[in-house]
Amino acid sequence: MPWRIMALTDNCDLFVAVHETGINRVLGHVIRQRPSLVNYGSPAVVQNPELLCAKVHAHPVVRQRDNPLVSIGPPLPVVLTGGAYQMEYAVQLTRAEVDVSPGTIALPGELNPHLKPQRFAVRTTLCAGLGCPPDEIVDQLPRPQRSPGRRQGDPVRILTSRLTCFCLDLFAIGGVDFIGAAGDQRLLGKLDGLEIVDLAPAELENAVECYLRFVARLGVLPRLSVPVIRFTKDLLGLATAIVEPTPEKPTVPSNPALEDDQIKVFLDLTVTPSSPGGGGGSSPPVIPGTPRPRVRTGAFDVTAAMSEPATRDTFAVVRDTFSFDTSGSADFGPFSVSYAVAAHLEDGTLDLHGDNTMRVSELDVKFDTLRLCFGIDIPEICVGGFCIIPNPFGGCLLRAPRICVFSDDPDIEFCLDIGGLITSEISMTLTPLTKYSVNPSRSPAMNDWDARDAGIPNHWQLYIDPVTLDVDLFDIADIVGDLLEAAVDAAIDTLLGPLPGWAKDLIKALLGPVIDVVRAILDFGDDLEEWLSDLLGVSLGLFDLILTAIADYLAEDHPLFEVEDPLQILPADGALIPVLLPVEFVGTRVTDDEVVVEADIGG
Amino acid sequence: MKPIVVNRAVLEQTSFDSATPAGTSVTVHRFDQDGRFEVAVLRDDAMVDRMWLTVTGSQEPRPDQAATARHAGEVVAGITVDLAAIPGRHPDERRLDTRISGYVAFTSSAHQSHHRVVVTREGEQRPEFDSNLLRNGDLFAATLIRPGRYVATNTATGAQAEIRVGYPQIGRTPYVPPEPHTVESGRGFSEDRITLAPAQGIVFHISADSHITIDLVEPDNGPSPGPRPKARWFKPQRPESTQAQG
Repeated sequence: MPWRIMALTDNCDLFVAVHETGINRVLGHVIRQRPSLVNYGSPAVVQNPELLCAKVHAHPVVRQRDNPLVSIGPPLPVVLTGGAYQMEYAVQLTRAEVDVSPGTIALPGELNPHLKPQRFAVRTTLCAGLGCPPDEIVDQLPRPQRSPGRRQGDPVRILTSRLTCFCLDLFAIGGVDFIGAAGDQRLLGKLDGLEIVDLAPAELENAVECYLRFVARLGVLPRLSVPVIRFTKDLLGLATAIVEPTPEKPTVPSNPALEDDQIKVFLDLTVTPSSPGGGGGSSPPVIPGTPRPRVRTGAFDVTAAMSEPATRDTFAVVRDTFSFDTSGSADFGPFSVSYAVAAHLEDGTLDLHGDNTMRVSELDVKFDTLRLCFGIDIPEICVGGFCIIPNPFGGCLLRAPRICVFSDDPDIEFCLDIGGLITSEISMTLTPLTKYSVNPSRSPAMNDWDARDAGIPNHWQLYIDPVTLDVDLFDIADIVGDLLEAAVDAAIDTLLGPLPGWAKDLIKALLGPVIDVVRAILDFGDDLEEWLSDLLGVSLGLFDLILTAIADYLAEDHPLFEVEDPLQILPADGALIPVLLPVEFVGTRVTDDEVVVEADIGG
Repeated sequence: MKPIVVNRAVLEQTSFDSATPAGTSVTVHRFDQDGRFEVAVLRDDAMVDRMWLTVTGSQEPRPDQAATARHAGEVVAGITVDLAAIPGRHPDERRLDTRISGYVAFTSSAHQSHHRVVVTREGEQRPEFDSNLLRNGDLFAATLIRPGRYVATNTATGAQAEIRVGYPQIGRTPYVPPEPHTVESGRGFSEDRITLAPAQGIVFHISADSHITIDLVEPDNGPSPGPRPKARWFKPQRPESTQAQG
């Protein structure tokens, strides 16, 4: 058996992997854009973040939009004062780094220095500070006021000009699982162990670790769950997509899998066309983008792949949403043709090739309407003109009057409805192509949040770029000849309608078989099929029109899908800005087995 | 589609008269002597117009007339005069030239005009040619289109002949009428029964005074349509129960 690189989708329809560097970039963006998620403090600290133990490096838009750097935490009362005094404090997560197995972070011995397979590790730095003013200030603290009807007055906050801080390195290890109902599963981290370095005595360390485990399990991890299924369905928005995690089996022992420094997700996909009219409203116009090259090297932050069968299913949806209709006319001198065409596509097979192409063959063009109307000048029909006095030396000395039946060369018009009688196939070579579309309405002064609020974000677009398109008109039903003859006879009968039967018969006799007259005028000889093929394909350029429509459909008007840049990963929360993830690069490639999409997250 | 007018007159012409040649019929006279002739167009014995004919010894007709007499690329020695077109002609155009032994054919594109023509040498009273009575050497020709039985009558002698025009057959090739049938008209007709194909011409060579009329007496409307095909379905007989069980 020939050697073959295993495809990413050998055991699933869709494969999505996020590299640990990508995860860490995501964490960095979350921390910068939503600092209040990782910085907590008492009211004085919230009001004056300068008191924090570590400087908060927030995104400029956070300050520009007056988002808080610090979330207000619960009061920290001085015990035995009945809550009369509260101290100022701060708790900060100043660093977070994820490492997916195989591990590269040196873990403390308590967690086993070597990260086990299918596990991730997190190294964080946790800083905390307490406001401890000098004794002279404490001595001057006011006594708590008692007011009528209340047992106790407002607590006295022990103000301070600085916090006494300490930082701890915190390590955690865990795994990842799918949770949630079918169709809306999320990836949720689960904590296996947590260790604080260099905290003594051991009991204190254990107690703090215990508390932090609760924080992680009940507070942090649920917030970091990733709606994988919904996100994937949104990406395949042109179809009704049913996405389910691939069941674990010998070939997929872990799903999700934590390996190769990546979190990998294996999904099964069922694609069906969207029900017509279900969208409602009109989509914003597509702004064609331009190719944008990658600006870094190394592993991609995100790798996704769609198997060949899933690509075929998706292609079927794209194919089924295409339709074509046009009309026109052309004058060829002895005759004229007008046409009305409506067509759609059916069947066809798609194969992936390692030269970065997808080849579609035997794609049938189904003509819902193909009406051809011919206008023909048939020869004038005349009588008389015979020689009355022949010239004995040749020729004629005198002729009888030649009188014609019609005032001019008569026209006949007849139409053929041959929509269901022509079989035509298209073959295509396509290559996926990503482009970056900059919204022209966006001004240079706008930041990403402004553009998003204005509904004019930039987009990454995935197109299926046609490399070659070929059409083959390979069959015209024999009955077309009979239809043509019947249509011509009917047209002649219409033309001669007012005349008596004997006159019609005489004119028809003089004309000879009308189809022969038409054959001579249209010049199709004995091969109607070849002539009709030439007329449709070359003279009328009908197939060029269809191919152009398909090419435009694929290349210009219909990116397969668009992804906003930056991409929202956390929605706005009240006044808090949404967390947006810059997408630095999206690229695609085709192998013999799958279509691969690779992306980098911006720094 | 441009509007097309059917020339019904040509299809409906079923009477022909050598005295008033019209439509597909034509009366021909040969001029054997030179001179200048008045061509008078009469209706009901009254002259409605006239033109002049010059017969010379030259060998060719005037170039402009040659052009009008051109047929299928050949230059013919005869001139055809449309009597219905004379009134509209400019005086300068009311002149015809032909050579000695040249033929002049008279007809009228106005089928019901009943134009008679009388040609008289200038300065003489006796006509050189009067379509009312054809003389030896003249010709009368017609194209009979309508299928049916006609009767040709020489009113000058009372002679009659039957002409049958066949019904057209739509064939595998375009129908081309055969060459015209020639009949001599003297004291009688050279044939009593004449069979013509549809749209075939007939030429009467006049050897004695003749006034020939041709009239349709029995139209032929072609074969009557046969009975319409019918189909009948018969309920199939049920097999015998014993056979069914067997």
